Amino acid sequence: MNQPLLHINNLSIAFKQSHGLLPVVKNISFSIQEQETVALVGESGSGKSITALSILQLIPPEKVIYNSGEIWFANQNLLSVSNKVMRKIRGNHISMIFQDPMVSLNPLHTIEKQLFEVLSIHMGIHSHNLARSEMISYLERVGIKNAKSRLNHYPHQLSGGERQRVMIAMAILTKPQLLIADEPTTSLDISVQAQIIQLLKELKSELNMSMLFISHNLSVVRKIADNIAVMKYGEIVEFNNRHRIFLRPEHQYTKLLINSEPEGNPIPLPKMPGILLNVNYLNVEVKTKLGWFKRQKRKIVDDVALVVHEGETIGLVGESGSGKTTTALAILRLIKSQGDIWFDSHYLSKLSQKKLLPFRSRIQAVFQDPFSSLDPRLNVEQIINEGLRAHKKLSHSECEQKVIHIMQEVGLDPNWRYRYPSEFSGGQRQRIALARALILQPQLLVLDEPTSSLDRTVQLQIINLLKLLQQRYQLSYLFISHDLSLVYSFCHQIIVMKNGHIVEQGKRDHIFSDPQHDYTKLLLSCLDKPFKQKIQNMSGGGNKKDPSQINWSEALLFRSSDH
Amino acid sequence: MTNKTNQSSAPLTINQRRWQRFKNNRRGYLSLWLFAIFFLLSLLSNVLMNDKPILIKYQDHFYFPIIETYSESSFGGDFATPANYLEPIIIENIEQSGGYIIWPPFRYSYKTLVYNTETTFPTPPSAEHWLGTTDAGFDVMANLLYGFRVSMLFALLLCFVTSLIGIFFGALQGYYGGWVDLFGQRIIEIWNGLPVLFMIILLSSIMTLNFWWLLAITILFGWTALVGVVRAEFLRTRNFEYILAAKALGLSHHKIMFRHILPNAMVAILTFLPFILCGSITTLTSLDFLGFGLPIDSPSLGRLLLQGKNNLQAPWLGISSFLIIAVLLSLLIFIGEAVRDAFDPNKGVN
Repeated sequence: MNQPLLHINNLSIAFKQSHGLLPVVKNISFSIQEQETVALVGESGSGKSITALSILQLIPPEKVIYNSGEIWFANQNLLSVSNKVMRKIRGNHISMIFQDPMVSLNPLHTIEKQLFEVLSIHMGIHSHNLARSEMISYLERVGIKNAKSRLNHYPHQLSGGERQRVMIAMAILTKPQLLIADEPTTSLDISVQAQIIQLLKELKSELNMSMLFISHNLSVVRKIADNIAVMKYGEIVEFNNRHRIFLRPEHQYTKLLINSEPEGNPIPLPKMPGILLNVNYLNVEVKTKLGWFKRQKRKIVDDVALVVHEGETIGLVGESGSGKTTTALAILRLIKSQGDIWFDSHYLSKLSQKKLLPFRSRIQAVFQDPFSSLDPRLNVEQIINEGLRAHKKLSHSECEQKVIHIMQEVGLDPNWRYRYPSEFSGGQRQRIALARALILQPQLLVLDEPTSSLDRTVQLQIINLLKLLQQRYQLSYLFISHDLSLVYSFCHQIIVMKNGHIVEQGKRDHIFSDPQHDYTKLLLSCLDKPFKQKIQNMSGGGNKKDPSQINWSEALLFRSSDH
Repeated sequence: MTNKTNQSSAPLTINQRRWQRFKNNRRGYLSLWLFAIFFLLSLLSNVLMNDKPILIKYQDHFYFPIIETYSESSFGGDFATPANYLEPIIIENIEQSGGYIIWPPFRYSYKTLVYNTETTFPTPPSAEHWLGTTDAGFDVMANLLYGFRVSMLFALLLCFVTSLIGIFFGALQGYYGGWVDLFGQRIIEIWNGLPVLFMIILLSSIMTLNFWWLLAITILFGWTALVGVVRAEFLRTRNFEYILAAKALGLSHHKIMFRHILPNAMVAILTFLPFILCGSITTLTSLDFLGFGLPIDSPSLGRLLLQGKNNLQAPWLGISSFLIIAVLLSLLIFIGEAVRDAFDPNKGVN
């Protein structure tokens, strides 16, 4: 067997904290052969990013201690080489792409300047003309259109996907032997994700690179990795080749990860549900300044219409920037909008904030980011009972009883109510946010991507909790998501949005088995194969299509909204 | 969760943790103690250094000369003028009647003229006057102590009022943004362009400035100090999702500002306060030094510095006043640094 390109032997890393050491990586060993892709898979906090950063020695040395182990690359132990040698290796032999393309490019410099920096430092190219042709060819290779004119652009003029492509171009400019990709697709839309994965695969074989691919998403890893290391709490619990991991997982945790696909169907609708929310001709405009007096109006939500019945879940699906969140905020009357909003046969659109107050407790919201949606300076009890204090006059003990009850309801230990948000994990925080909304006993809950920043297994727990609560209290949900497999197991109706328009809406089965609009088809094509098979089985076995039973009202609905 | 064992007992609140972190900074903690002792001593300066006794027992009556003014005739003197308790006749009178006098440890106030010296003023440090006397014949230590008190009270009042005004305007600008913000910012820019020193020189030539006038003028030109910080904090915090959630819960604007945004902005504000306090002390001292500050008969650190400059042959004047100001400002800066670190959530201590 050849000597591996990179060999990590018995590596342990601990963070220095004021009251001792916090071990984050425990005695892991693995190696990457030449032209091989190894994936590190695990949930957040499992130590996978730290492992990657330690290879390039990018963790501030005053923060960590390497308890044991070596990282061998080109006959050198990277843990003991000098800074000077390390700088040669970084970028030249090992390059890295990071998770968030929004912040990993310097916003003050043009693309050209940032790429030129790499070339001049590592390749010794100091002539701009020579460098430019090199840059253009690489940018074209990573799929940037009009690469020549794009050189003068600043990062904010590029889309998220384009930025990630530029990052990749920057990383491969020096033809490194090893590329470390730290969740390179996580913050991208699903259709862009697939393209980036494809690109990385092609580049890897073209440049004879090895790759260390870090992800929490097994279905992404399945497309790209040769070997997979599953990490949990800083340990590698299973290391094997891809086929074995997926066909015959040995460790309990691996099985859990593989099986953590959403299952089940939405809660059955109540008989004869009434209409709870009816939205028509909803428009939201933003004004952009062009000059001193010129202003341009742009519609970011354009004539959106939707109906939510009692006990029903509506899934609002689309890519980032499609106007999903804006629609939700407009319905909550948190931003200015034009159009009609009827809630329980009350006309909400023109009500003053004061008259709106009684409805605030009936429509509640849970937001995306569990880390910024809780006030860090209030304890859990204060956070949860805030709505009660604003809407109902209750005694202190009544308040406390309600808080305890609702905490049990959402699966939190009531003993935790004097703790602060920073002591909780993302999933627990989202439960707190849910409790804060539910304590007012709302009828409609707007869920703005409540699971998108959580690990898969935690996502499923939250969705199951939401389903349970729906069954118990006949709640209606407006569920905003870009994750189609979650939507499938949760929503009765699905609305697909693009650029502020509704391009398609209809019953879940209908949208999944027989999409009409090209965009819906595109979204569905990005789903995993096993999931697609499941849907086909369902639509094949569950409700056989009978041409005589065409739901005409629904068929007409497609046509009217299908621009 | 790491601490499952103490679930029943309420864990440390954020403020308790901050106090822990503050205490962990030894320099800051020590500075706080030293400063507290100095400040307490200066607040007690009337009882510590005074030419009036704390308590007199005379003919079975108790007198409190520090609090009340008694005439000389109440102690068997000849005149109805306020009693001078340093005069031997009065002391004799009191002692002969079987009464007694409890004196402060030092029998000098900041404006007690010293008569019985062998050399000319300023006299060097001696057993009687530990830090010597000034060129006008006042005790230096008494002046330092009383001056310290005036400076600190001035600085604290200035700091308190300017923070209130600054937080109010900063909060409005940051929370509402838009035109309110634009308008407010322009006003502050123009306001900050006004030359404060010239205004004070002008005013002082029209009328005599006392403590409150000086305070009012410095507040008038100093309230902008915190606006920028508070505004930035409000601008930042109002975009967080918990503000959105609070709005969705139907909370009013002022509740959101006070309950959710202000406590988060307090970190930045508290970090700034010691430095504003320092600035206030320096302002008063330099005004006094230049001769535009407090009236001539009030104790002042700045004027003591000026005397030091004018009497280089008497180094105890300059050195002692310089030391006091330097120590005071350093202590405040050390405390400020410790406060800043205590509020920094990245320095995690449980």
